[in-house]
Amino acid sequence: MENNPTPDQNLPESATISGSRPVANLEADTPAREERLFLLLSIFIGIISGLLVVSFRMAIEWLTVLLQGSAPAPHQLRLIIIPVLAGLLISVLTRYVFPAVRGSGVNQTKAALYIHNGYISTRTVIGKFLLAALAIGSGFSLGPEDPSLQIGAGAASLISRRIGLSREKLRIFAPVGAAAGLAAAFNAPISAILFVIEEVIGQWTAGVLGSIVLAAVSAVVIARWFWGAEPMFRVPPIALRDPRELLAYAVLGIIGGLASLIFAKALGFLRPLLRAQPQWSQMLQPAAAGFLVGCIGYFGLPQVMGAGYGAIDAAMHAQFAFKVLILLAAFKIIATTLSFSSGSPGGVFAPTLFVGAMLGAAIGAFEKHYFPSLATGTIGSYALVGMGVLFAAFLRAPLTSVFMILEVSGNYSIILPVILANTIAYLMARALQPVPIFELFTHQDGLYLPSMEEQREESELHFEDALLPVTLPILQGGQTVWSAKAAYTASQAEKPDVTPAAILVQCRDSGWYAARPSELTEIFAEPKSQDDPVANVCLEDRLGAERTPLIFPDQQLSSALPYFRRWPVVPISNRATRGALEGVLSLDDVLKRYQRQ
Amino acid sequence: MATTIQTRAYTKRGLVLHDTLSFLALLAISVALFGVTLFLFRSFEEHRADLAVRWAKRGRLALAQNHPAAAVDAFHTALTYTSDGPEETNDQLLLAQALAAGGHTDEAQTYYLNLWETHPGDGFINLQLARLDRAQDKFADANDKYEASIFGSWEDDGAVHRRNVRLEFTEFLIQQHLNAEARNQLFTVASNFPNDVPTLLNVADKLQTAGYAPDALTFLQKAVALEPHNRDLLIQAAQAAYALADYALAERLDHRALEEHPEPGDAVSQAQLAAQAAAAKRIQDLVLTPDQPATPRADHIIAAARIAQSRLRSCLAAPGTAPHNDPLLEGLTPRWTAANPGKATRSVLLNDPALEDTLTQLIYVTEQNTNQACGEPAGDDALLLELANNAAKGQGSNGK
Repeated sequence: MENNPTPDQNLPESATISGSRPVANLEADTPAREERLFLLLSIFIGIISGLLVVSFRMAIEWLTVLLQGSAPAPHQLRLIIIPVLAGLLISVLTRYVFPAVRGSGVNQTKAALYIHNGYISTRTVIGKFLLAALAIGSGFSLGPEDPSLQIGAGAASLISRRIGLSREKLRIFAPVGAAAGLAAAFNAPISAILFVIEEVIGQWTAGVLGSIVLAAVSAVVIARWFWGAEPMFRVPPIALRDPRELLAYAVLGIIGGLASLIFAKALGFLRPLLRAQPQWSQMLQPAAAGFLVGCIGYFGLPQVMGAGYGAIDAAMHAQFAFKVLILLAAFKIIATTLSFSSGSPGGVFAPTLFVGAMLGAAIGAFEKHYFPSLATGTIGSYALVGMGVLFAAFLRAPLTSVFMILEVSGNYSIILPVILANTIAYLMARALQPVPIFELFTHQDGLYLPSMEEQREESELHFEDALLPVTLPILQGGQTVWSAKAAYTASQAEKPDVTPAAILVQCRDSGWYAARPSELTEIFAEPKSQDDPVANVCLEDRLGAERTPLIFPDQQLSSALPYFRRWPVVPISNRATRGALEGVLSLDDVLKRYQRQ
Repeated sequence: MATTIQTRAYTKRGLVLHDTLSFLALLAISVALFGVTLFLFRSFEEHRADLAVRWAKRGRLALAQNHPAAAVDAFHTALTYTSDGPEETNDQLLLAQALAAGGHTDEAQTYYLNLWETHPGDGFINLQLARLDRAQDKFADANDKYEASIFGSWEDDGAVHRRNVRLEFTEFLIQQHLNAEARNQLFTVASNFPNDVPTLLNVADKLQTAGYAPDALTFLQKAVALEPHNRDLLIQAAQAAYALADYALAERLDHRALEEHPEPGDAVSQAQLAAQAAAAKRIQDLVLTPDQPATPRADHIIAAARIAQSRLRSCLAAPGTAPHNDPLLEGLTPRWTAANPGKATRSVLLNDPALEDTLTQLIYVTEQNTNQACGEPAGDDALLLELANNAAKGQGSNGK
């Protein structure tokens, strides 16, 4: 139920548009006002989201030190006690105070965009901030990035509501804030922009892109002011001396694809199962998840607790043996599945990166041990590529995954292995798990938000997919009306039973005129004899200056529909030879083509 | 109509005022939020810094107590809380050191490489990387890193650090049999520290190892010039001179050493030193090489021939030897008979250089073969054997 609007989300329309009715009415007088405000507001949204995300990360770190101690290690009893107590507190607060804070935040932001007109309640933002920080800080295996995205979106929603913007703009501001929140969380503006476009709004429109960029950049400036400009992970540059090493990265892609499948299947199984339990049981689920995750930490793997960035860093610096890396990846999947399915607020980005880093480092360690002559990259570079692999396969954001790895490492020498491994993992994940994880969650919640992956892959039809050869009669525009009439009569005499849908007139300026038969019949009826002055007027002059629009085969078929209001058919021209036709298209042809799709 | 225009003007003014106030409010909220965040951030950073210092201290202690595993854990924790900057670099360096000390070469190298990325000209980091490359037999990389370390920046006492790196680098070069390059590096070190006796001794020692004994002796002599009453140094120089067959110099240095008072615990006693000096003096009377002046050489050959013949006779007469069956000794008696050393007077030898050479060779062969057949000689025979061995190595007297 994580996407269902809570009572405070179902506000009256007036509240979603503006806090003050008179101002809303005034908007009708100044339609350009919003355009002017839009970019400036984006900067403020970026700044405020950035500050909130910095505070959020700080709260997580503070709570981590406070609750888990400065150096969590196995056999510390607090590793079990703290997550259990935090789980109890989270379930009470989630049940009675912040009912809309469960889950990661990505789907909630999408739901805000597509269902609630961009509305995210202030209470949700506050709840997400507090409870996600508590969950992650106490050791639940969850990440701060997705909540940051929702916090950013929530801040944007709040600001745009207060300013009093139209519903359309209000809706767009949620992804703008989301990009700002994610950019600040990752310290990576490009990845955040791409993720929001790939996963949340699914389209590149110049107006929205400008706002998203401004907000993301503002947020990153703020984040860097506090944390510095250093990339999150630093690995030495790699130089692929032997192309055979790419095989190891390809294997990493395959293993990453399989791991993401296991991860997705585990979440897809456990989450609805726990949701189906009675209410009292759901109240205990976060505490139970905390207990199990705590046990994993207590009995030897405290690294899986929390977001796990320290362990990712350690894996990058080859501080874990092969077996430990495999164990960490496996137990992180278990711990995250438990934490997330229990309804504790927190994200899956960081755990995904964690699993990827461990698998990558494991492959790197294996290669270095058994094929040392091939391994030119450090284990850190494998861990980094592994992070991208899981991101591409599990979160199904292939473009974001590539840029994210480049941005979080500041290392562009790694691009070739990243692209190779991510592509393999992504294709495998698509083949084995057709429904992306976030979409799966929305389906589990009974919502049907647009699938960005499907949208990306929808193939647009073009004119060339529907056009037919020219079989219509063609008249020369330079002919006189009288001779055109004769030519038309002659052509009609060959097929007396067929009335053409249109007659094409080729004009001397290489343009075309698609005339209806009735239109020509009317013109041809005007001259009574060849000596009649009307009979000697050029046909194209008689038709007037208007011509059918110049259309080419590669243009989108959907754009054809408005033309048929005026023209019986649309001639499709060749781009290379002006005046030459590739074919013609009627409304009927277009509809038939769409029906066939 | 006029009313409508007036109303529109009012509404526009209202909108402008509304937007202005909204942005001012946003600005105020941003500033307030920034202030609160900054306050909390600084407070938290201070706490983190305290934790970092505490854990780094534990790490240093563990490293000092030779507990690299504990040090690694402590430095890891410290690094979790260290902010970017010199402290972080320092902790990373210590962590890398702890990792290297714990035998985690790969991890240590990764850390050093990370540091190197941001400090490519740092002498210490390059030195550590050179050592790790060397341990992993990456000779070309080690070579580059040593050079980068020598020409890199050092926080304090750069000249001393560079000297030490050069000396370590020469060890690496000698290990790679790149002796000529090692010699160049050692000459650079010596020229940078011309008045530093330990450095000159170190240079001499490494030159000796690299096979440049004459150069080594030169630097030892320079060291002796700086510390003329250093008994150990005099003895070391004398031994080097003796090994180079510069017996006169060796004798002089030994005598100078004898004049110095020995310290308790000195490796060479006065009696041993006196014996060394005596040997150096005596061997000069037996040198047979053609670079000697003609008359002394003839006298040396006559004396040495007697000694060698005597050694042969005693060897042949020794119980357990079977001279007729011993291929080493079998041909020597006929060769001595043919050479007829009894006729070889000073004047004969001075007029017959071929006979001088024949007798010299016969003396050498006799000493070498009797050494193998009858065991190690003593006294003059031992000195002659030493000369024979030097001749076999192509080394004359005076180190030539």
